[in-house]
Parts: sequence; C-alpha cells; structure tokens
Amino acid sequence: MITELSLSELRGGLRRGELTSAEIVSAFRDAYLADAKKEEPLGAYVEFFDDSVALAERADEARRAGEADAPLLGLPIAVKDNILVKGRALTCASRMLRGFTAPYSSTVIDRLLAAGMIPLGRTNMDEFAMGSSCEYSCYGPARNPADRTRTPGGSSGGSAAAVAGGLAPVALGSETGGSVRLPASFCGLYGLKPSYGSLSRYGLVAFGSSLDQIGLLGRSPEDLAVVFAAAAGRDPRDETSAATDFPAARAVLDGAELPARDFRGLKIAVPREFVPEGLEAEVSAVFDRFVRWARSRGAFVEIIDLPILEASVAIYYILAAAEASSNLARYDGVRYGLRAKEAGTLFEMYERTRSEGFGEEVRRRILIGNFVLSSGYYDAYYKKAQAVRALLLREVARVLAEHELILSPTAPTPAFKLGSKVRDPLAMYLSDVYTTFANLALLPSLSLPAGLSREGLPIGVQLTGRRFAEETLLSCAETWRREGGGG
Amino acid sequence: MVDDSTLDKMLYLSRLQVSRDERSAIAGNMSEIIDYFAILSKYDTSGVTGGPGEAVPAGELREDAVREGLAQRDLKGLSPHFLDGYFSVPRVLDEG
Repeated sequence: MITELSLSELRGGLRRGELTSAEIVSAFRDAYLADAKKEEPLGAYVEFFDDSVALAERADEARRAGEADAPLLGLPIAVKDNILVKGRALTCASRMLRGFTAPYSSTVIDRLLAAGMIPLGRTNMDEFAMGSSCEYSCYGPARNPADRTRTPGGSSGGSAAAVAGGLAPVALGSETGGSVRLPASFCGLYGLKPSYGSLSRYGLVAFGSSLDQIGLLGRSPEDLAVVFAAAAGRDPRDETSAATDFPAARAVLDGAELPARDFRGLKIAVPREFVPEGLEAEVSAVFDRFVRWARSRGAFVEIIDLPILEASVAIYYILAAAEASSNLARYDGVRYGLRAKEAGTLFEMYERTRSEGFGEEVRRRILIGNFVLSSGYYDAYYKKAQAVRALLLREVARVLAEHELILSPTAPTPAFKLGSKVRDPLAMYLSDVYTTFANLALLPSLSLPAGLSREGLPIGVQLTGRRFAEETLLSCAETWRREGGGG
Repeated sequence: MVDDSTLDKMLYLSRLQVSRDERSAIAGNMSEIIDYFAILSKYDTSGVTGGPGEAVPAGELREDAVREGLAQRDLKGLSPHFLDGYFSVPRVLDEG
C-alpha cells in the first residue's frame, strides 16, 4: 500500500515508472479523508491542501516531458503549522494567528520546493510550539496512531501522527527543547533535531531563537537524510545558519544508499543521570537491549557522570520562556491575525488581543519569561541560566571530545494518556528531561524507534553527536534499522 | 512566591489580563515552576563568562546593497486590518 511506503521507496517507484506522483498524493489525501471520518480522528492536520493533487499532476507532466531533474520531484511532505509556505494560511495552532497568510516561504520550504517536493498540508502542534503533548492546540489535540487515547507527543505531534498514521511519508517539525524527538519516540519514528545552524530558521516562527531548529520526522534514516540534504546549507537570511557540507547526505539525495556505520570501536557515553534507578521498567528494558546490541556490534559503551545534565530542564525553561516573552511581544493586534473587538485605546487592544489570542500555556510562559527577565530577578534566573548553559556546553563538549555519541532514552515514559499532564505544567516540562540538553548545547540529536512496551507503545532511544555530525547519527540509525531494530 | 503585586507586574509587562478566578491557579503554577529553577543554585558559575552565542566574525558583513522587500500585496495577508498600505489601529493619542 502506497501509504505504508517510505519516502525512499516512493522515490524508487516514481523513478521506475511504477507509481505516479498523483497516485501517491491521492493515496495520502484519501487516507486523511478516511481518518477524518473516524470517531477519534488523528487530528494530524489542521489543513490538508486542496491543490496538492493538482501539484502532483503537474509534477507528473514534468516527469513525462523529461524535466525530472529535481531530485525529489513529486514527493509529498507534511509541514508543521509554524513553518511559512507563501500564500498559505499559518496559525501556529493559535487563535492569535487566525486570518494570517504567509507573505513568503521559509528557506527550508523554498529549498524543498526547488527539489520538487509537494507540501501536503499543515500539521497540528502545541500552540507556538510550547508543549510536549500537542494538547495545547486551538484545534484540539492530535492523537497517537498506536493508541488514540494517548498523546503523539509534542510539540510536533501532528507531524508525527501524520507519518506514523500513514497520512504522509515524511514531515517537517520544529524543535526548541525536544519537540521532534519526543513525538518520534512516542510514535515509533525516526526524528532528527539538526545542529543549531544546519537548517535556516528564516520563516520558522520564532519561539526561543537561541534554541529553535527545524527538524524532520520519517520512517527511515534514509528518508531523513534526503530531506535534510535538500534543505541544509548557509542562508544569508539567517545569520546563525552554517555553511557546513554534508557529502554523505547529499550523495543519498543524488541516489546513493545511506551508508551504515560500523559500530566497531565506536565510543559511546551513557550519562548516569539519564538512566536513573527509578527509570520506568519498560523504557529501561528497551534501552538496555539497545546498549547490549551496540556492544555486540563492537561499540564501547561507557557509563559516565555528567551531573550538570540535571540542570538542563531548568536552564531550558528559563531561557526558552525569556526568549518567547520577547519573540511573542510582536503579537499585539496590529500586524498579525487577531485583533480584539471593542478595545477603546491602543493599550486595551494589546491586552485584550493577547489575552484572547494566546492559550493558557503560552500565557504562562510569557509571564515566566517576563519574570526571569525583570528587574530584581534577572541576575538570579536569566543571567544564572545563561552561565549554567555555558557550563553545560563546556561539560558536554568534554564528553564528546572522548566519545563520539551520547546515548540515552529519548523520554522517561512511553506516550502518556491525553489529559493526564495538561493541568500539571511542571510534570509536562519533565517529559523533556533527556532532550533539552542537545538544544542548549547546539548539537544534533536523533530519536530512533528502539522497541515497544507490553501495551504496544513505541519507545525511542536518542543518539546525540558532535555539532554538525548529523551524518554520523543517520548512519548509526541506519545500522540499527538494517538489522531489524527499527521494525 | 508569586504574590498579588508580582503577578500584577508580570501581567502588565506581558500585556495580559486574567480573570479573578484564574489568578490563584496561575500564581500557583508560576511559583511551582520558579521554585524548580532553584536547582541552578547548585552550580558554581563564578568566573563563567560568555554564552552559547557565537560572535559573527568581523568583516563578514552583508553587502551594503538595496534588496527588494516584501510586496504590499503579500503583506495584506498578515492581518485583516491592513488597508490602503497601512495597518489601521485604534486611537493612540489622548489615551489619558
């Protein structure tokens, strides 16, 4: 069935003439329409683009006319609702942005369109990417295809639900503290958070600018590699983007196989802080199995002490909230989307628009952000968090000088029930306990599907590498996949 | 920790309003989260300088050239209140 194929398999089918792009896109559209009629739909998309099949037919015509030089011509991708696609609506799953149309495309989208990809639709998310369960969405939550009473993870929950539920072969998400890897872990997918700077942030709606990065969700490491290669590279519109070359990923885009990494001699660190005694038994069992497998393939897996990791969630929530309170100041009712009615003065309009437009979690983070930045608290919280972040960078760099990878579970639990943490923000934040350090340290990190719980819920394992070592992560994941680990 | 006057100050800085019923829940959540941040006091940061940001190397400046901006027709999609090339706003002066 088309909707069960990976992007690379679909690409092969197109190249051999066994499939048309219109057939592929229609299959995903039909799957979306059928799912939408179910009693508990996945809620993966907030909009499925009406013209996607027409765009696919155009790609088929180009292919028939011999103009198929774009490497991903006619292949579809789902796009998180915080990544701009020119001329399309965009809301960040917020009431605040209802009525907003993107005036330009993000650089990543521009590059994927130039490579021939077709955007299928906008995927559901936590409002402004703030959340770990996709429940803080003005559209209602997305659901986990493995168990629809559970979260697909967040904030890129719609992207993960779309790929895992057979409604897209691959999807763009975004990360500030784990928003691609957590959903990948909960939904049984491969999820890549690239290094800070690998993908341009131009046209990604800003949340925490020193942490934000577009990420990818797919069914195989190879699928992530081709999309990553097509999107990566220096962008003059994002001063923090890097001119790093990724030759192995580029070769995959050009048709080569993604090389599997030989684990012999590979040095891997497992921070003791990330495998605590109280770690949930099923997560622990899956993780231990992965470690045994890596060792059996010749890797040196060493348990190390990295106590600064215990600070990562606190650093993250201080800095991300501070940056969010500043970035979201622009939503004032004047220039974007919503404007509250019946506001007499400009100040009233600001307050009413923001209070009506933002949901509970976004308001909470803006308040915390302003708290940690305000006079009297700035030194104790914001400045302190910046300093501890600098320490964390130093300590993690020390570990990665000796080891090629840092290995940990992706999340402390499998997917939790919808509604179980939504009233307890601190418990929700602690879902990110293993993921945030990679964002703080600007490193690439990948979650791979490592096993299932007794209830059949996916459990992920996370590989974090040196900055710009995305290809190492993808190749290690490919080794695991080829040996049947992912399946 | 987050008392009434602190909450009022943060609401003002954030340009947000909350209902009377919501106040205690919001202050309670904020306090719990801010208390959690105390973990950072365990780490000695005396003498730590710099953050993760990388300075843009001197000399790597953009070309000093005029570039085309966004077209007005595209800006219209930002807000329903974009009219005749301007964003309309409520009265600004004489707010008292």
